Amino acid sequence: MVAQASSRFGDRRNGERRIVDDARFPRPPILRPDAPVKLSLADRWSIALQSSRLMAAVFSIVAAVGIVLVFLLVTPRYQAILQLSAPQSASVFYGQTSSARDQLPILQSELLAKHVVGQLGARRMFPNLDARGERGRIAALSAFRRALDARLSRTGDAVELRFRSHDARIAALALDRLISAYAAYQRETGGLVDDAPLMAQRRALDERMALADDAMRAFLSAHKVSDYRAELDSAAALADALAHDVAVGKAELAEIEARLQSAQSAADRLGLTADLTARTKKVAALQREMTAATQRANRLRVLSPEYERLRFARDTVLAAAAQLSAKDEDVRAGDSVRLAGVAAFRPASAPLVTRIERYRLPLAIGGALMLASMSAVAVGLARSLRKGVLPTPAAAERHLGLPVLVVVPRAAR
Amino acid sequence: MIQLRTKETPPRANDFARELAGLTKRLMQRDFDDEPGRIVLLVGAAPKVGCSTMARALALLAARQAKRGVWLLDLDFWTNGQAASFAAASDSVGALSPPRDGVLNGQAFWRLASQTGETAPRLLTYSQVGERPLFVSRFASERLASSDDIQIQPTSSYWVQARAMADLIIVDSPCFTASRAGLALSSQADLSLVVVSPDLPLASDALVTRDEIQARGGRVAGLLFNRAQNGAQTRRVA
Repeated sequence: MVAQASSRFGDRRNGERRIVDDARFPRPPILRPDAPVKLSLADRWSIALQSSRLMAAVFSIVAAVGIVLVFLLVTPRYQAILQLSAPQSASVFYGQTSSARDQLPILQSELLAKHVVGQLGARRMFPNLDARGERGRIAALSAFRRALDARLSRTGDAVELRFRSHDARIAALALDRLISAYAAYQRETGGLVDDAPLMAQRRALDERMALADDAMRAFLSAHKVSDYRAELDSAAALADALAHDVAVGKAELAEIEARLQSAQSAADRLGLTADLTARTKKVAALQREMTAATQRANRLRVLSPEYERLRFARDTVLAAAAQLSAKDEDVRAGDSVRLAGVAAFRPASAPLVTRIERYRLPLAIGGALMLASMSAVAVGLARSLRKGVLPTPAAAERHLGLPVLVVVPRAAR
Repeated sequence: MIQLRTKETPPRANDFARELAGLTKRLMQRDFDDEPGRIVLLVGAAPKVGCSTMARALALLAARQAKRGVWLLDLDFWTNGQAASFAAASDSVGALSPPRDGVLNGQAFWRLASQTGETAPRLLTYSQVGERPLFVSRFASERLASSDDIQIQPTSSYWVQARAMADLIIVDSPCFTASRAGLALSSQADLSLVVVSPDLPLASDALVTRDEIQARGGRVAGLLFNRAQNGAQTRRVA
């Protein structure tokens, strides 16, 4: 046999290189090209360490992203959802139309913000803020607005409120207070009070009152009386006074006549006669006045039944109005305010994670580092699963059944 | 004039000196001064495992102890990386001497497939590296036509003469997936060493290399583990 093997070196300019002796020299059947490499965990770890740079990169990236994500995940966000229905269901009593969108400026208003910050305290809500003085107050209000997220729901018929705070309880309290202040505002302004049933009663009373007033005015006008009761009393009093004066005058006239009969001299009789004449005229005038007053009083007394009927009817309407007004106030001041169009009202819930709040940052860092470590190890071990790698001399010896005569470290050169 | 390439890493005298000292000592050990030299086949289990670098380092170390000389036979006939590497490092290892014909008394282990008569002269040459007793081969592939086939044959008479002239003949063979030239000489080698590295998925290739050498009557003495992770136990031949 001349040649057991040959190599052909063809034209390398086109990159071709061929082995031509395969047919004459077939591979023996003992070859095991796909024999699996059995590696221990230590071997796999050795392979993983070969990818130390990749593992470090994975660790860094996952740790950085993980810290941010985990911190965001463990940061509580508390929200209250105020459901406001469509404008069609808004109040008709005041002739207003209000929608969920209309509530946004109210909920974000400085008025409500002041109320909430004032109730909870700026320092309590924003401990990192210097809340002293006017500038501090403005800063607190600004911080409140930043922390408050009021937006329309996806369907557009509801307002969703979210409040971010370092303290979950503060977040929940802030939202609850905000909603309370919002409800109080609506009560005071009547913006959304739903008192349609009271309004119907009020309208009926108003109509009855108008009728009663009209009847009374017509009655007084017809009898030329402005104030019936006062005029009646004054007329009766005047008649009584004039009657007393007439009686006194008549007694004086009788006394003068007696003195005239017993008078001796002509001069005395002349004087008494003149006095008697004058007093007689005066008494006659008083009698005429008394008669007129008595007649006036009698005429008014005749009108008394009709007047009392009209007055009773009006007083009845007034009493009903007073009763309705009291009921209205009860409704407005009640705890369970029924806001027109509010389909559901869910207060912010109390936080359940207060115990781990103080460990939030360490938890985030620890969790991210753990996640990053696991990712890095996973990447390294995944690379160790590459088929056919002989990571260590011991693995090579086991796999090939040959002794390792020389081990050259990577850094030897 | 011979044009040498410089793709291979230039040799340094102390490369792998500590790691290869035991193996070198064992390979150079002689009971008698006129004992025939040994032939060692170094083959990589896969490309880029550092086989040529280790062969070069082994040759440099062995040359320190050699009396007759150390031959470094590069079977990568097209690249001639070993010769190119020594030429590039001529400042440190010395210049290459003028080439000597590798045909020994009309015997050669190569031939052109189209050749029918005598072996073509000066296709394979050896050059001495500086003043060292180290001779590195170079194949004049530029003299080949594009259609020429080179056949490697285990000519025993050639190797008998070579053993008499050298203390150690290191055959640097490309991995078998690239060239199967080394297989033809595996039966003539006293021992074969397979170079492996943890960087590459070469377990299957290493098995193939081992089995093919053994199938041709060669003896695989062991593995040279290159680029081991720090902390891996450095083993020396006892």
